[in-house]
Amino acid sequence: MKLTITLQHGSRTSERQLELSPPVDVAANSGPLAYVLDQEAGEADWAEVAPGTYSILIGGRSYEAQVTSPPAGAPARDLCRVVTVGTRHYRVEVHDPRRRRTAGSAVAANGPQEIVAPMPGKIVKLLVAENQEVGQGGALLVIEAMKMQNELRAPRAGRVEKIYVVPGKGVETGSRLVRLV
Amino acid sequence: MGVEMFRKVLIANRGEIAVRVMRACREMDIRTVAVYSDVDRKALHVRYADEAYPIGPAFSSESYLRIDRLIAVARRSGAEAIHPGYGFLAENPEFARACAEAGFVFIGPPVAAMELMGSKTASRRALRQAGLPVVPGTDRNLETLEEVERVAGEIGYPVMLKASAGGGGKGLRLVFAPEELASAYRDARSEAQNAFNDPTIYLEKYLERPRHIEIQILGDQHGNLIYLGERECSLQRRHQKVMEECPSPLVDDDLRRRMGKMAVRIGKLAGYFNAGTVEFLVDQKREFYFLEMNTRLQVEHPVTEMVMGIDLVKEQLRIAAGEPLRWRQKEVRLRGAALECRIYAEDPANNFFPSPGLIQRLQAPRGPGIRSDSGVYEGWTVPLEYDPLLAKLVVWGNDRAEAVARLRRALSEYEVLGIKTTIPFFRRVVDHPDFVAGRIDTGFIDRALAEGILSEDEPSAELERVAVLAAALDASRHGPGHPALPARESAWKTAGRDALLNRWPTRGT
Repeated sequence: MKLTITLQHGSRTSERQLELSPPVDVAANSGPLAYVLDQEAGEADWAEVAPGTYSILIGGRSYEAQVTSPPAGAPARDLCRVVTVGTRHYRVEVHDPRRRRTAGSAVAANGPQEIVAPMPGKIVKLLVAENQEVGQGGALLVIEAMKMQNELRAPRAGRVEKIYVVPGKGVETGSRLVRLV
Repeated sequence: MGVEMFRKVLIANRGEIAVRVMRACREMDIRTVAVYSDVDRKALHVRYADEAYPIGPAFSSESYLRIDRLIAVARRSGAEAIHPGYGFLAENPEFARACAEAGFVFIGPPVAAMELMGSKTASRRALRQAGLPVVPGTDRNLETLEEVERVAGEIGYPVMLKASAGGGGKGLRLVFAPEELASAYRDARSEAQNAFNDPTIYLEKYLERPRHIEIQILGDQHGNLIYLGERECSLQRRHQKVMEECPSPLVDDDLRRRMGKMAVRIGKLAGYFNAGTVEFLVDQKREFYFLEMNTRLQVEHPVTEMVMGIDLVKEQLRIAAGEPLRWRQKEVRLRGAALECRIYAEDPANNFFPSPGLIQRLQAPRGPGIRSDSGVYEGWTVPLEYDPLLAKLVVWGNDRAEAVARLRRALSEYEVLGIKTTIPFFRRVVDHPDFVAGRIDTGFIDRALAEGILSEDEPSAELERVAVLAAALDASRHGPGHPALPARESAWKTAGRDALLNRWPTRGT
């Protein structure tokens, strides 16, 4: 079974090709696995020890991964998984070859991204203008929430294609704020 | 002594401190009464209490700060005493007076002590008049810019403008030169007006790289007052504490004795009993100056408890019931070292932006020397309306080195998914060489952040391999967009529901 996987960690995004054999048995909770990841072959043993919690042994090294969905208001929430391994969080999108390919990956570095409000609040000040380039972590706007003013920052470098809000506007969780391309 | 302990206590608070106080009550066979706002119906403190009563809508001013509603619940439940926790009404003399007038024991100090120490300027003035060391500055409120300029010139720059009614890092402005004073004064006044409804400002000399060291005091209603060592609280971000420890790496037995005795003198000056904390600033020459006094139990009290082997909340209950102190000063002993991290629902990678929402997974650390005081649980939705403190992680070790190693181990075990927390930030702090060496001051955290302590991890091919395999396994077994844990909702549905719940004020409050 061949899968295309988009992996994002911090500012780095990559596309990987994964082959698993035997094909994973939906009814099984554990088992041995042979994989080829970007032409590198290996063997692993896996077990789902609790819902969403995977124990994975590679060459005797023991790891644990938690698989969850991104929080409410996060972009493309229904396509991604958040996989936590130790202290690191990865956003992973598994492209199912049996479904029609969607145009552009949810986490691809070059895909357009709608930055949405993570919680209800009020826009206090815009710190960028349309067509402005921003670096990763660049401040986009100031939003007032939970009795404090906070700067919302760009999750990756890009260009501000559109700003959907003006100062004084109230927003809800998931409201579009800025389109980053 | 045959003092009768309370049979029922109302805890006028929420979150981790409400649960912590209830634990002490449970150990003493005291029935606990919780109060909850509309968004706290499923909160941990409500689930933990023996009785629980609603007190109003989400906003604190309409619930946890409503003295009339709290007294009404105390009456209805038959509580005999009220513990105010910290924050909210804990240092409000009007509340303490209202409790007493309604016939309930307020678990805390006398009203007069709260009034004296609650005003920064009045407390400074009282101490100065008694010849006790205070941070150089004014003990009068300054009414005009001209006055501020004159006093700043006398004290010498740099100076700190501070809100007289202030706290929590608000209404503070640090001024390095006379040219900056006028605009800093305007900003400080407006912030103080917004935060405390009182724009009055006073002035203090700003000590270079000071350490914030506070002394825990405990006194009974029979005139006995002792000190229980110090806490080092220099790890602050924007003047708010994030990590604390006991004992302080800077303090030796002699300094502890001198500061402790000074704290007791100050407590006696205020006629203090029950638990309280005297805060000092200590300069590079190890001279200490009174900063302020907190007439309540503090957030960071667990580090003192771990090192002293004392349950401060139980002692508060005993003292309030009229029992004498159980220890004399010479019997007080420190053992080992304790560290505490305040786990906040904030995103360190996004300038500590608040991160409320559903906690999808929560696994707190365990094992030797670990204490976790939590106010949340897996499946709880952290509300927007309150301070975002989720839990306190406290560790104890035989010495500071062991405590630091233990804290590092504990932080590596801490799993919180669904919301962002300050845990990743603390993981970096415990590896910083200055922190490990105990070379800390109040500017440490802000400097570390500016120097990039939160930089990205180096990529790890192995961990990426694991993440890819786990995601592929999950997708193969549960479908492309549906991992097993927990049920997914579309962002539209969530946003729509939030709008219906009217989380944000649209009507007058």
